[in-house]
Amino acid sequence: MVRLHSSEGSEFEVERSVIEKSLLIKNMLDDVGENDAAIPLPNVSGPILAKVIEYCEHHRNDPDVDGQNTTKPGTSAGASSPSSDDIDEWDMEFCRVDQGTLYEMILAANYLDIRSMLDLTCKTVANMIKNKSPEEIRRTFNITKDFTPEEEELVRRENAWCEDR
Amino acid sequence: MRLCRPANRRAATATFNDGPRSTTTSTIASVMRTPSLPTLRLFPSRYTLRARREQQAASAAPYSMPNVVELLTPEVWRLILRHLDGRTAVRVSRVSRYFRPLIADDQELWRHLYLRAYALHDDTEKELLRWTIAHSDDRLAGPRSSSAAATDQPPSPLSASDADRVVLRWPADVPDEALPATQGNWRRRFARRARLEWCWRHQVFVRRQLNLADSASRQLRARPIAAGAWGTLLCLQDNDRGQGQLLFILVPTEPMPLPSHQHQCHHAPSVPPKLLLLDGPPFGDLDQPLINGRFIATCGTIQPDNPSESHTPARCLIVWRIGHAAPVYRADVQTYAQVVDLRDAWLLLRERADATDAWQYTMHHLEGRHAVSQPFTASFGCHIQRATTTSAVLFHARLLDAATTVASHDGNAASIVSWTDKGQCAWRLLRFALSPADTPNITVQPSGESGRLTVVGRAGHYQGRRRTLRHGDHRAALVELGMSADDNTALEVTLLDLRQCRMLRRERFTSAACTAGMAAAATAAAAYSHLGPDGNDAMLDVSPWQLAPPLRSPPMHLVFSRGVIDRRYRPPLAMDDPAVQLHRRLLGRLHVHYEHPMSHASHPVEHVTALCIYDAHTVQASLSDDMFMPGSGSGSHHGAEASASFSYGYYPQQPSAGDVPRRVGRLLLPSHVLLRHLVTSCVHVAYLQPEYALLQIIQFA
Repeated sequence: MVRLHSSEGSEFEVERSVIEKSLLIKNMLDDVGENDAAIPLPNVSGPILAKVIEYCEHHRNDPDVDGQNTTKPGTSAGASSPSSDDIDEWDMEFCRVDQGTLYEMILAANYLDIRSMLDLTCKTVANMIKNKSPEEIRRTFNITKDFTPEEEELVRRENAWCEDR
Repeated sequence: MRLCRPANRRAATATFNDGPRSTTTSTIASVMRTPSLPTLRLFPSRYTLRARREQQAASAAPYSMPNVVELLTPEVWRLILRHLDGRTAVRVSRVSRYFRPLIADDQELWRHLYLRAYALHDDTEKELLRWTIAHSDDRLAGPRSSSAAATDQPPSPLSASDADRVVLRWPADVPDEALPATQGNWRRRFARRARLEWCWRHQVFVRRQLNLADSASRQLRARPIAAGAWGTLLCLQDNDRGQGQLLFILVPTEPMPLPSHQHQCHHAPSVPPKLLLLDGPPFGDLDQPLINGRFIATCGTIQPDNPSESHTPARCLIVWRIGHAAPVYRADVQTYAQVVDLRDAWLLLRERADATDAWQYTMHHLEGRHAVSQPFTASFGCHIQRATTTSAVLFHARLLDAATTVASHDGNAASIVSWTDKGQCAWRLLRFALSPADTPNITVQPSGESGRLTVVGRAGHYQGRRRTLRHGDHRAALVELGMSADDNTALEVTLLDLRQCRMLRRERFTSAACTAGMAAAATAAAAYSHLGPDGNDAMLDVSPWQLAPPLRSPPMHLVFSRGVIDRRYRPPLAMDDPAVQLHRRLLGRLHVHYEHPMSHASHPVEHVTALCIYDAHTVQASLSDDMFMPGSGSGSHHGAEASASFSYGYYPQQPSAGDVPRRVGRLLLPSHVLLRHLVTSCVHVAYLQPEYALLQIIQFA
């Protein structure tokens, strides 16, 4: 078992095989060897760490997908590149949280280096962006438009090739 | 799993220790519902959401969504953007100043978006990527517009400064496999590629006219014989001596201002095309050249200086690198020789000394100091399936003779009868590897993938036409067209999955199931098949251009759409003019067809139409639309009102059931343009108006 300390000091015990989906923790454990000391995770709050553990528990038997969605230079992404639509039901339900939690999950997955969870949460945000106009994207994500009218017109014109189908 | 709090660790342990996993989940949920959690900020962090929430709570303000721009790092945003398509990414760039450079400057993102949008297993896409690379080179980018400079934003792919520039470039000689990894401005490339589609859809083009009157005055007859993304290849034939040469016309890219919803919008070119006369022997006749992004290859008969001398004219294979006048490769070949396939720097040639001999195939590597493989036979056919810089994989199919079939079938008499009633074909992959440079040679090794299948005809007992086709990197098709009067299988197409060594689909069309007209077409015409790039649909076109007069029969068009076979027949045509050709090409995602309701008084052809099919839905739409010329049917068109038209269409890479591709454009061409004088590529269309000695080039980019 591995003990984890969240940012508030909450302690979680989790099987090593489960939490090793996190490359950060896996590397830590490999480095320190057998040790009872709790691993501090100052960047992850308790509720988010609980979500992370829930994800790792559910996907504990999944094949290692480290880097599967990362297209490195020199390789072809091609048609085999995964779509953001292919999210299974459990994962979709797992990501059905408020935006703040979702962002924290992204940051936690990034910090803990859990590629598949990071990929899933990024896909979820990408799906929130799709089929929206710039104004709708602003509203969805609470983003302030800081373009001047001239800049906005310039950006619109320079991207006209992509807008009009 | 245990879940504890420092303050009540014992209680928590007692509650959750060794509990079932479902309890764990509920525990996590209960923790998440805890109204206030102790906040411990050990390190300064960009992880500020919690603090922001607390601040908001302290000020008693209602909950508002966090500002995602402040929260997520650029690295995370890049990961999110990779799940978008190019169009959505551009929309995000229009959201705020933060996103504009984040997206515009991320070349890796645009490379990813490009390669995902335009799959490079398609040959046309490879050529187009090569084309976009050359036409998006940073060194050719114009100065930044003043407004862009003022905001320090990246230059637009289509800003006015770019639009003023005319790009006249030959392709960089980059091997196919290196294309995805090339450095450069992938955003411009994506924009250029997207803009090409935009021009297709909006029918925005530059119309050029090249006056060939000078060549006519010198007794030269010019006709376009091939086209690629880079330009058109003209064959110049000396009327007196019959000697021919090739002229490559490099068409410059004319960035056009984007019109607002204009259709049929064409612009005047500002720069004339560049002409390059290709060196080579004087040809008496010349095959239609094959062009890929790097080479032009053809076989031709060399015309002796003194034609009165009676000797067998020599025939040669000759290859030029695009952009160079001097041939890069030349080899003497036998009397009957054809370039079968050209992929990257690999060329497949077949030849025979006599029309009754079996075809002998050889693989040529155009850069490996002219390395040539040992001749081999392929009684069904073969093609280059994949190619890299140093190796190529060849799909090879041969008909097995009866003895081989029986000997390899375990003596099961019943099976033997059923197997030998039809023919049997064995296919395999052969790997051709280029030897080290010090011993230029091509070595051949059988690859692991192989298989057998029954086919229509038996070796030695069957007169038919057979052909193999590449369908992406890992699929191949065998097409067989029956020519035997007593064989009731007129046509058969088999699609193979080469990785799994299995047959994906087989479509058979028996003459019994066909109309008499179709049977005539199937037994008399050459099978010519295109397979859709989406991996699902296959289109088969039995083109009628080899119909021998006075046979009258319709062209046949079949659509295989995910197992549903749709058959469309045209009314009987009068194919009295053997010179009339139907023209249809599948150009990657651009699928063109040519309708030619010939009505010119000098041509005794009533109506010739090549039907363009995208999928079954489109067929329906097309039939009810104006795919057929109004009032055409089986009637004739006489008079000046008749015209030929060039139609082009666009369909998505992976069409879904509800996504009905549409024909997006229609260009009217003069009625007297013969289809044999028309060549197409994804970027432009060229046709000859012989009576005016004009070469018309319609350029979409």
